Amino acid sequence: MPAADPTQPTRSLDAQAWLDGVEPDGQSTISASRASLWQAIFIRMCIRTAVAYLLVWGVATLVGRVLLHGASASPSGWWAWGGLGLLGVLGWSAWYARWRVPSQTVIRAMLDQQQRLGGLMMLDRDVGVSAWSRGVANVEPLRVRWRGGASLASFAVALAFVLGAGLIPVAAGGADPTRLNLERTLETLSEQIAVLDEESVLDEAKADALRDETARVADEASADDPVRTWEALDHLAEQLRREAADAQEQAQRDITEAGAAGALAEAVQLADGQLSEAQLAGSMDALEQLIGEAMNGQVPPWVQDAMADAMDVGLDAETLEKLRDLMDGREAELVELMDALQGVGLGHGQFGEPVEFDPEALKDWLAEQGDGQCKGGLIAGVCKSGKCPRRGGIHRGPGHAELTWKDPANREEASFDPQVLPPSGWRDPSQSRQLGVSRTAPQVEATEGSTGGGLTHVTSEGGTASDVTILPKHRGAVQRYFERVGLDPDNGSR
Amino acid sequence: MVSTGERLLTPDEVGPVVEQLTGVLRELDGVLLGQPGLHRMVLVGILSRGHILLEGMPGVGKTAMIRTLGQLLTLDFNRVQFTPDLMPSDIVGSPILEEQDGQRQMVFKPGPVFTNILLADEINRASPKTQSAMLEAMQERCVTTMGQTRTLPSPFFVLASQNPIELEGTYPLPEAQVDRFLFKLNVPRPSAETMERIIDGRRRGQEPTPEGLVDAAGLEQLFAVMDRVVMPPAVSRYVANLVAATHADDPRAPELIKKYVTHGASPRAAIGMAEAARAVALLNGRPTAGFEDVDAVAEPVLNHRMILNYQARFDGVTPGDVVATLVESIDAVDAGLPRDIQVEAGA
Repeated sequence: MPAADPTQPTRSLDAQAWLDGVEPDGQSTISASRASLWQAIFIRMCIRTAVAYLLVWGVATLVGRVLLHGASASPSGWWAWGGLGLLGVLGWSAWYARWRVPSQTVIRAMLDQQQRLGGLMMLDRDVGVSAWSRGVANVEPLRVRWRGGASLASFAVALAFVLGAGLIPVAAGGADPTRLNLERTLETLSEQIAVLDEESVLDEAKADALRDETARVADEASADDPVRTWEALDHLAEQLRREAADAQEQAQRDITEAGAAGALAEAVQLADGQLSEAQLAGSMDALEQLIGEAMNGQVPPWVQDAMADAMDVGLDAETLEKLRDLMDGREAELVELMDALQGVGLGHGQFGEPVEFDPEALKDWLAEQGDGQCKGGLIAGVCKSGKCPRRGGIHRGPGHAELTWKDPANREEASFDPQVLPPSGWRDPSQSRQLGVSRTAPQVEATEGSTGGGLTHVTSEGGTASDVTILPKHRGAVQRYFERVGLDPDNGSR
Repeated sequence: MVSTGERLLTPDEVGPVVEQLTGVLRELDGVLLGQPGLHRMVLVGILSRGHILLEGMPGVGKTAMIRTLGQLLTLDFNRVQFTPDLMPSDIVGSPILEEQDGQRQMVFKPGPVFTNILLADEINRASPKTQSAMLEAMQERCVTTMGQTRTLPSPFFVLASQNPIELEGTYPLPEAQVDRFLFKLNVPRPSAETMERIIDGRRRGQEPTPEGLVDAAGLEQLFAVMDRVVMPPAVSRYVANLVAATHADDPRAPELIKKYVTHGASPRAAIGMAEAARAVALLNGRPTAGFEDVDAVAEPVLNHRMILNYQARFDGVTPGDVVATLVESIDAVDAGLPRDIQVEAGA
């Protein structure tokens, strides 16, 4: 509050007289000022409480989503209950503002201070203040200002936090330290059991038993003993893998048998009366056997009737066509089964090379067989292998032999291991021996061999040139070099 | 709201008083040129029945103003020039041996203190013993000699002056005595224009002699009106808060006080401030003292009562700076509003 100038009166006594109708004690001004203050305190408390509430709400949302709903979005009920809490915030703020708003006495003092009324606003009416009422005439209500930028920013952040906590997906897991996260594994196992059940790989009872076992493992799963749980799950998975492998192997065989049956039917159709009775009977036996194996014993009745008639009257072209269609359909079924197993992670690829059938060759082979050799089992075996055996001879050999690769050759005798050789030695100066000390250049006899120097008795065989400073003591060595044996003294060549 | 129990002063009662006081101020302004604010505060001090310490350079008119005031109020006026060898008895009086009707007896000869207005010129030149002789006179308005207490005339004011620049041969007033002065007013040097008017209007410094406007009885009536000026509780609380906050250990004290003030103001300061605020209100023609009246007298009431540490001297912080900071930092109306809610005067 700025210091007042004592030389200046705050309100002149010579002001105009009291106007009729002006409220003597400024009650409406006080009420308006009080309302403004209540409003400011209410808004301030609303924002601040809402910030705290939103933070709590956001944290509760996060915890609730992790514990109750996993990564799924928050349900609308959660938002509704949270929104109801905001009504509580409003109620609390209204009560707080009512409790905190200054009393009328304080408001009077504030009006008096702000508008420099000299204490007149704080007087009671019964002390005769009406005589001074012109002093408090035209008093304006207080102007209240709330500087709530920081609070509003906090509110925006808290609101964004709540929205983020409710809408952004949260990875479930790890919420309960005593639980194991088995959802994905259990889901995979359930899918595999369902597929095996659908494809009749498992019978109903066994599928139910496996489902019960899976549920029991999930219920008993505990992070305190994860090994036990994972072992149980591995056991279940292994069991399913074995069942699937068996089914796939069987399907592969059935595909081969269905293909063989189809090829035999086509071969008989191609023969068109060229087969003898015995050959035809053997072929029918083989065909019946192959169909039975391909259909896993569930041969349709019309096939059985047709096969029974075939012994007497043979098979007409239409029946043979139907048999081929039946086998093609069976083959397609089995391929679908293999794909379904592959889809749930139970596929194991092909069991052996697929057999290629050649009905033309089979027809020729059938026609070549003697009556005594036309056994149903032999023909069925030849059909399933897809290869017709030959009688031998130069042009009827056993066919191409497959190339086989043995162990790689031993490298021990074919190459040498590199060896690290010691570095070439330079004569170590520290190992040199002192012959004597002289004031002048050493006198070296040309005929005598020097114990020093690297070129004694060395013949030049080329090599590289090098510049070396010749000291007086090396003079003898240099001299010997140019006088060595075999050197032509005239032209310096050998 | 305030209920005083008795009727508030009416404009008809306040009007003549204000007229009378305005006349005194006008005469003072006419005699001592260029110091209207100082005259007003001196009059406030007189109305508050307080003693005033005037501090200013030699020749700025301290003595002339006090003498003129005595003439305007038609009161007894004595002047004592304080010197180092001045004795207490030179001020309060002393018994002397007199022969009367053939008998010798000790007769008390009153000193210059027995007057209405005592000008204690250069009070800080007297020894502490002599300065202390005025303690009882200033506070109790009586003196005790030879075991006998004698009441001083009423009204009684001490208007002391001291020179702030001469430290050699002076004795700074002890805190106990400084506290007895209601105001410490700085007498500023006049401006060049004012000095020009003084030179043109007064040969050899002779001031005009004013007529007396208020006698002792009139002054008592003024005091009676003063007593009826109301101070609302909120204003009293503000005064109390201000004085309490002059102490560094008070939670409301601003940082400046915590850093520089070693001793704060006494309760006597609060009483004096309230009285002075009432006087300001009366001078302004109001029957009640408001917050702005307190602000107007806060500086002269508190500036000599707060003892600053050496750090304040080194940093050039004056008592005036401290009081200004104090008035600015203390919320006059302790409404308990949050800091971020601000209240302003309406449009």
